[in-house]
Amino acid sequence: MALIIQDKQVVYIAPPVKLTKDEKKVLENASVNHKLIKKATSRKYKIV
Amino acid sequence: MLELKKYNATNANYRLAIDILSNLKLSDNLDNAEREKLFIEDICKRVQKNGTVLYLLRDEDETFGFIALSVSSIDTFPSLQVDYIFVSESYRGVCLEKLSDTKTSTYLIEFAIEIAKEIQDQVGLRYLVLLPDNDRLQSVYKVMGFQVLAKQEWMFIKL
Repeated sequence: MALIIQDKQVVYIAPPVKLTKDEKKVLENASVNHKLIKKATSRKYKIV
Repeated sequence: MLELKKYNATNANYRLAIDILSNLKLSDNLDNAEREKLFIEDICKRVQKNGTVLYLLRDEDETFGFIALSVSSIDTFPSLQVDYIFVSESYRGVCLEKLSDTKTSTYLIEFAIEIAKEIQDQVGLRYLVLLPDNDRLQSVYKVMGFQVLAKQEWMFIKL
């Protein structure tokens, strides 16, 4: 979710545009969850 | 038949929020329901402006919830962003036979992964990202496979 409420108004929160070196490492060194992706992509979704 | 009704700027009109709100059950808690209503109205405006695409999960009898997705980036990494995910109060935390014994939220996130993989195949994409609304949801998303981005509250799945 990228929405919050401030002063009774909905405010859109964008992802960070600049990460620290450590944060970039977390992103880049993260492993791909192949089991999850396989489960998600093997299902048939009917989009209308 | 289970389907995901897609709403984008080409088919969404000013009635979208009204239609969606009439088909979904908001929280019983009035404060939470008011927040959800504000979020849904905002998301529907974004759909009309081509800022996000909304997929409403339903079958002939019921509407389970929806997910709104948009293109984004985290630092310089292209990402698919979950703008908002909503599950009708009646179906929260429940595994549904109609959804292959999966919770509605999990089903919608897995659908987002499917969309993300399609985009990745076409134009390149690195992550599915979202910002959980609270600590409880952060735990829920961790169970689904999301990782926390260090000090940031954003969470991601590497694709």
